[in-house]
Amino acid sequence: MASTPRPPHEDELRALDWQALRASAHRRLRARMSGFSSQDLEDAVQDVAERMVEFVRRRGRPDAPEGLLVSIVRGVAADAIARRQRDRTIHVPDDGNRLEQFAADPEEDDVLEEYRRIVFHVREYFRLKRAGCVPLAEAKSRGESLKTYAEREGVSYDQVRQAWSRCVKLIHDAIHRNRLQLMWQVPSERKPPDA
Amino acid sequence: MPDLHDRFRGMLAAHVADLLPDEDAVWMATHARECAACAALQERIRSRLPGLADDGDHAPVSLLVRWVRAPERIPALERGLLERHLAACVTCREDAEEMTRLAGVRRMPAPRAIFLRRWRGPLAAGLVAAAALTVVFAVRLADWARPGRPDTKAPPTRGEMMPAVPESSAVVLLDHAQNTPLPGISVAGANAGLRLRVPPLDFGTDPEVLARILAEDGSTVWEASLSASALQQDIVPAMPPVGWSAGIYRLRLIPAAGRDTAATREFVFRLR
Repeated sequence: MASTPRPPHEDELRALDWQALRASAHRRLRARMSGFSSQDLEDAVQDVAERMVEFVRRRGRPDAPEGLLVSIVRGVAADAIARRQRDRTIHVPDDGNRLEQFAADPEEDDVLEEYRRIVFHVREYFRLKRAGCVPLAEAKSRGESLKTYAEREGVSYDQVRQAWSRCVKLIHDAIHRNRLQLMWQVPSERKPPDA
Repeated sequence: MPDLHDRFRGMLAAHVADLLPDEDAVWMATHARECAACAALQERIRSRLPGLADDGDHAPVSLLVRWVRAPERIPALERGLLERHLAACVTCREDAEEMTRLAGVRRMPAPRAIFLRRWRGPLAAGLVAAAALTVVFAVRLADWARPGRPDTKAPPTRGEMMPAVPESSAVVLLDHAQNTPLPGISVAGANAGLRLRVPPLDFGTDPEVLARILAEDGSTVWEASLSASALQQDIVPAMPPVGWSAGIYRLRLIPAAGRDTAATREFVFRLR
């Protein structure tokens, strides 16, 4: 008699310390979701645990479970806050377009995480060196395009592009002088993601 | 030689961030026109960018993971940028603490100051100070009422424009890049002498460090040779003959008894 095949990564799932993970999720969610009821928090913890199970079943145990946990906590807390804002704003319905936190293609997540790292360093570098570039770098951190930024600020797209181009020159200079090492990694230098 | 698709994917994040040099950006656009799979990947990435708005202000998790597990793998300036961010962002700091606990790392990596190497420009001197975590960098005035201390009301010898430090002095750490005080700096003390505390610093094998305080005009106000272990406690520079004048000062720490100037750490503070 053939036995039912075991789902992949089930052993890896069992090997994780779920008690510690849930306690950790609870602490981080409580810090991020001030004003929410304890029931809301418990629901959010459960949501984190489910997303984590789903991730491990799909991709296996991550190298750094703590990184995965914090990523998921950030996503769950943001969802909860957005939901509450929608509930309080009668005229803004749920657009239903919220994207899954993790893509089916891991490479997509890797590129997005690399984007986060690059724009984070660029923004912090400008905070240190060139305050005038900070608003544009912040827009990049929020995932805004230059076009969207120009529309929101009511300035011309060309003007914004020129300003960003001047800022980018500073980054290129810093890279060429080995002050910044956030070179977009060519494939041979790519390292596996930490989380 | 790397595959064209790999090359595209390797540069995609920077391309989407509009950071590539023109020639690379042109190559990316050309390749996207020729390769449907790469173009689709780019489109999927762009469609997910608005989702970054929720936590775009915070440090990327992958960076925090590396900082918690292997901080030595992060290049000095980038580590400094991250630590500077952590000094100001409570949420990220708590995330890092939680990750440290979960990862079973014995303790959070010791924060370091941004390593100052030959920064140029008029604002350069203040950059390094911003890297220190708030909790480990405190500049304060402590009581210095002692017999025979000089009268703080006496006129300063250097620069008549500088008023003497008033009785209720305050010390504020400056971030020269933004010309704003850093958050969370504790300021205490009145009728006080100057005490400076720097974050844990790695001075390599040579334990002797030349410490120097420079006034705004570049003149040396105080200088002493200290052991690296002495820097783990408050630095108490001797009072100038007429007391401390208000103004901006730099504390410079030069490893190897002042020989290793390339590894100088510099901290800026203001007396007012």
